[in-house]
Amino acid sequence: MSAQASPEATSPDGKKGGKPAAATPKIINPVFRSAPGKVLPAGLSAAALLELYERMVLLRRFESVAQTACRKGETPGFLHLYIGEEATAVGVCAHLRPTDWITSTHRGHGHALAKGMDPNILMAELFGKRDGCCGGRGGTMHLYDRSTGLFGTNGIVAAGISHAVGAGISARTQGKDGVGVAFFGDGATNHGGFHESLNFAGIQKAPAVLVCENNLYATATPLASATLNPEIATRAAAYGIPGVAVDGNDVIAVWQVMAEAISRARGGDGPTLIEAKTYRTVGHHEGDPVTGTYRTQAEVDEWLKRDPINLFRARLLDDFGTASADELGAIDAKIDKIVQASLEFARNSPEPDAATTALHVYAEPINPPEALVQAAPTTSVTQSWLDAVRDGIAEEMRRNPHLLYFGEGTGERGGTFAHTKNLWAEFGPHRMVDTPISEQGFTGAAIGASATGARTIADLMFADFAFEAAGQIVLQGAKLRYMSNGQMNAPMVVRVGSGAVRSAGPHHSGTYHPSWANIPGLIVCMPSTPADAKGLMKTALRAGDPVMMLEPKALFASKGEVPTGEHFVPFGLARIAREGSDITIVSAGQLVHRSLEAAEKLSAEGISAEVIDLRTIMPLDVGTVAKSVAKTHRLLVVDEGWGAFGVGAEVAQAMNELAFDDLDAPVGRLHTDAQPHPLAPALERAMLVDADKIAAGAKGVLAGRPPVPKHWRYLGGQAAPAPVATAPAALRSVEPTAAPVPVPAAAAPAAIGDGEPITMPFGDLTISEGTIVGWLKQEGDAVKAGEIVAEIETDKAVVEIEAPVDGILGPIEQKKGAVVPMGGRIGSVRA
Amino acid sequence: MNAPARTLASPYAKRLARERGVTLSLVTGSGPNGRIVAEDVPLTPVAAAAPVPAAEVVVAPAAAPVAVAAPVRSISAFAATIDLAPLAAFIAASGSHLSIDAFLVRAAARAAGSHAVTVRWMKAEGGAVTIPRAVALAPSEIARRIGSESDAPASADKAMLVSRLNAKGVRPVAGGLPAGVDLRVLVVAGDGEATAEALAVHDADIIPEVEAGDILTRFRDLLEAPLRLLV
Repeated sequence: MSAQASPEATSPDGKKGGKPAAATPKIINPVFRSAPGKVLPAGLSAAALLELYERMVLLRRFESVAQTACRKGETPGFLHLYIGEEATAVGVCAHLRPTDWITSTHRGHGHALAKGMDPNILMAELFGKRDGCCGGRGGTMHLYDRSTGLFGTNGIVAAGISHAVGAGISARTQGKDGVGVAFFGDGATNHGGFHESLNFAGIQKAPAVLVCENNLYATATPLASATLNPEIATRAAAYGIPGVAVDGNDVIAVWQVMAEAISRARGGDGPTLIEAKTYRTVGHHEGDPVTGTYRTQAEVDEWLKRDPINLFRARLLDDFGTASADELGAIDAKIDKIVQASLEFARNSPEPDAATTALHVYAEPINPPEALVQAAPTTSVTQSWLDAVRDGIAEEMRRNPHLLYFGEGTGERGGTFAHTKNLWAEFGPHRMVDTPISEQGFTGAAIGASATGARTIADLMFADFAFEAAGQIVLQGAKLRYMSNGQMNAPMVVRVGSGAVRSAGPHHSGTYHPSWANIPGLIVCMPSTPADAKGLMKTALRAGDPVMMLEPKALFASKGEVPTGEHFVPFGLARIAREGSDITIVSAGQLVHRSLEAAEKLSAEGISAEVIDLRTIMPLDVGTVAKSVAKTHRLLVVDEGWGAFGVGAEVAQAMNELAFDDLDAPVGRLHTDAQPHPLAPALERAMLVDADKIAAGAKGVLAGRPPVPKHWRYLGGQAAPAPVATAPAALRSVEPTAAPVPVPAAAAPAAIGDGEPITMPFGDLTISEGTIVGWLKQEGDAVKAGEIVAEIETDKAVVEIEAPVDGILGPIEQKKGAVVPMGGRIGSVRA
Repeated sequence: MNAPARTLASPYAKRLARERGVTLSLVTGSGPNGRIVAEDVPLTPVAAAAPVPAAEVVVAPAAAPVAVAAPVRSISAFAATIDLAPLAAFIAASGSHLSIDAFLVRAAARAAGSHAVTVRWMKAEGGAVTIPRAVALAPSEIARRIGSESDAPASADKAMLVSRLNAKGVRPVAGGLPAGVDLRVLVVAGDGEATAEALAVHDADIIPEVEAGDILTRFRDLLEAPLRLLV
């Protein structure tokens, strides 16, 4: 590849040429064409050639008929026709088996037919009819067919590339030699989905073939005006994989190039990028002018001379003598009959039953059976949150050898939060897959793998980062079951640490669960105890739908009782965390613990509060809340998400609908203030919900005056002032974030020295304590600033503690074996 | 405009006023803007037969309190109708083939709380099985024990009796309480029926009537929201 500079030119010393090596690369991209002449290409028999011809004619005639139907208004929506590009789909798919998966684009009818879809169910789908391949739910741009291995045409540019990569990895994981093949256009190659997927496929040596159909225009944008390197095959070099350009109108050439790519993929040699240079001789979509303003009739005419079917027909007749004109005519007539039959089939198929419109949004039932039947009770053990969840994942990975874990640094390193410790050692690099920082790419691959027989956890580290993969989660994973009419589903778990903890700042503090719960097809979990976190994770790993598993980072260091046996927590079942009779407080995640503290404060004032832990945001257990409100008649919703269009609004309206006659006061809600999370502790504290705000809010509801948020930002005055929480005491901020089981406080110090304090450093967001391994110096020893005086072991590492100044050590306030909170004093040095 | 002043009242206060026959315009509200809240609504008046607050749990009219032969025991009974549809859907969704009996036992144990650590299941065909600590057992385990021939050794724990009569179109109105037993739950439900009738019989000197009513309410609520049984 000449795009690569020579080693000499990249020499960093700048001496050889006397100037830096930066230079515009010279790009050379030879286009492969089949050899001229009368010799049959190796591997292609006369019968195989005629099959290629018949398949191309099917694609062409089918779309010509669909085009007419579309013009007559028989098909709802737009059709994007593949006319002119048939040789590419047919040449590629000739190498594929029904068990291989292809992903396609908005221009996907040709791919569907080339892969073997029955023309009848394809035409009926274009008509939006009941007998269509997706029952009329998907349509032209959302065609799925599990039986022939069509993993979707797609309305989103570049979205299917990662699915094909995942499908290939899935096949490999299952010990099969199946391959994932992605078709995409030249427009997709300037999209992050292309870059992330090719890079991930390369580093994973995924059994995949990546086929770019370069038809020169992204809708109406010429490729040459969208990139300075329009030679797409050369981009493979950026990912260290082979790339080859081929004449996409030469079906033999495409077949030959694909023969090599598929053999590499099946043989374990990894992915290949194929650039098929081709041209659509129709408009972007049916109804769009053929030329438009972006290309000329002369250009179209030039390409029409190279029509792939005419070219191939001429070679069959003139070069290979495979068949006579009459014989080819008979094939054409046979295809015409098939296509006409498909048109009649589509016209005669009934409209889908309107009563079925809501089917296939979620699995039914939404819970796996295991989560609905309780196992025999077992003993429990006190475990930290992360260990409990990690054990749950390990149990499921042992049970299901096709369960994969994709994450950044979750492999040998054991995870940013030490949350995948030891999994790499047990399950190895092929299942604990360390990914590049390509959230979109590996989440899409997770969807692809999960929909084709594997299961995947996509670990995105922080809840904030999930938006980097939002298109895949919302538009692909969440809708897959519906679009495919229940044929396919993506049982994937998106795992993230969520919520505010210790000034993590604007990009590492969010939780965003109301946004995800707003999307039909997603399950959203937000546990508050180690047992629930493990139980929900195990349920998620057996369920049938994509799950957003939001684990509050503030609870990672918490401990709790966890059953030692098989433990599942069903989706949609709230937990009564504390019983009470005067007011119900509904919460989830870390705020359950703040609510329990508030209930304790209220109890001291004679107010009995019931605290409900929702556990899952979607499904939402409004039944348990309504039952509680029937008892207490008052409700305060406390939630860490932002309030606008949030959990408080949803639960309050549910009570309007389900428990109106039980309400003795307006429902109140308390949320994190509607603003980004600031770094400064004083600013952050002011926006977060705490126990004092909850207690004040509860009293407001009891007095018939709930707190009023300010998030509407409408023009006009506030209806009533919000009750003001008593100002939290200044020292509260330095307390460690509370946990279900309180962090053991440091033992009472022997004596407090008056020298420079030696403290346990704040090291990590999720570590809250450490144990003193030992003192390397004794009281009275002279120490130098920076000298190691003690060692402290945390869940993640042994930390060396340095003397802060030159002086005499002592007194030692915490002895060997003491458990010390982050930031806590362990001794001092007198200068 | 001389429109009459609107009476502000919470939805719950309005419901209570409806049930108690109270005219709200005569009540002074203590809430914001004079809003009438539940505690402002007087308990009076009750002229005709007052509607029973929780309509689902009623004192069985013909049979409560039921006098039983035992001389000095003061025995009462309460009846309730239970919707079995959620339980049927739950069992079907779980993929198991359990009968409702295991769930009846577990719900009874949960509802009775400290009044019955042990459940004694009276088999329809005669005989009985003792199930210690039924509250902590999985339904599948309870089903196994119900079906087993061997009986657990009698324990010193307080036992309640639970039984089911597989019959249609009849309701339980009385049930005997053997010596040493303070609580019994008798369920009549045919296989595949949409509802069950349950009777809780108790010794009122040991379990006050209010508590017995609560036990039956809890029993019904657990069966009507069967996921609750598992947590």
